[in-house]
Amino acid sequence: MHPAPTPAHPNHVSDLASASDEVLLAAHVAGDEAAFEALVGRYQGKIYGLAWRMTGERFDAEEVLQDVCLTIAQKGHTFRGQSQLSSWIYRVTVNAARMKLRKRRRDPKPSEAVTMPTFLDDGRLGQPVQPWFQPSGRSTGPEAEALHHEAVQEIERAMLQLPIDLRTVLVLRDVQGLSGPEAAEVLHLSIPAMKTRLHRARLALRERLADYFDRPATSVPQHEVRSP
Amino acid sequence: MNCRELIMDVLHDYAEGQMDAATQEAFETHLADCPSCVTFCQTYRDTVSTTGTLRADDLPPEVASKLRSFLASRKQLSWWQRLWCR
Repeated sequence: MHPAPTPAHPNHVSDLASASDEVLLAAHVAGDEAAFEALVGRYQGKIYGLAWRMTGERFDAEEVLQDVCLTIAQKGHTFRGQSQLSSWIYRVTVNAARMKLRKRRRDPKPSEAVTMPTFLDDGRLGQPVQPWFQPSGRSTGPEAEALHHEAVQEIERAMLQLPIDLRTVLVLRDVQGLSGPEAAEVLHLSIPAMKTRLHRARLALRERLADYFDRPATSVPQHEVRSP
Repeated sequence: MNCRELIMDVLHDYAEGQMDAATQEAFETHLADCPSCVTFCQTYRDTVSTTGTLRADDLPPEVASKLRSFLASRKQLSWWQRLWCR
């Protein structure tokens, strides 16, 4: 049983905002409820965002968020400090989201979902490559904003069409901004294996986005169109 | 270096700024003569940068509120569990 948290408690954290994740966890394990809430507050958006982009469902993401918070609450004491606490939290999130997908069997088969660039026998690109218009370019105003919003939705849609392994590494590295070594640690991959998977994910996403971004520029303002 | 080698083997390191000098030279030599690869590299970088503009940590207010209720119920439960275990 945890002792009631009081300022006199040796593990009480007086400055929650500047305390490290590890200090907050230690204080929580020692019974400081405010430290637990601060830790959850720090990660709740990241957990939810990762879970939503992995599962593609808001409801699943909510459940994953609750599961992960429960795991931090109940199993935080098992964290041994061999990696960063953030990596542990991301790993718990990835596992919980995978479990949700497995239960619902919603992930498309990788063979159906991945399109890679094609090459001729001599190694040259097999198809012409068009430049993209920039939906988030320099201009502002309602039209540019609408284009940006549409582009964001398109990117989210394209990401959801990737197989789960590619989607996960992409979200960790390019959306959540984890370093290469940290993403590799979360996914239990070597750094070269993580790099290969990430590159494959970016290539597959590029192929999907190309259908949208290299469309004829007639529907977008001329100043949004970039020359080759 | 041909298009396949540039795109499949080298492009990731280029985007991450991790190319060694010899590879960089071969990379630039190829690009000088291949507009398709120039555009491909640009659109690969666009892919990475546009993905990076997605919001990573927004929590909708209603989800935050549900989480608070959930955690509060957990606290009550653990209080009852503690009482039960006495």
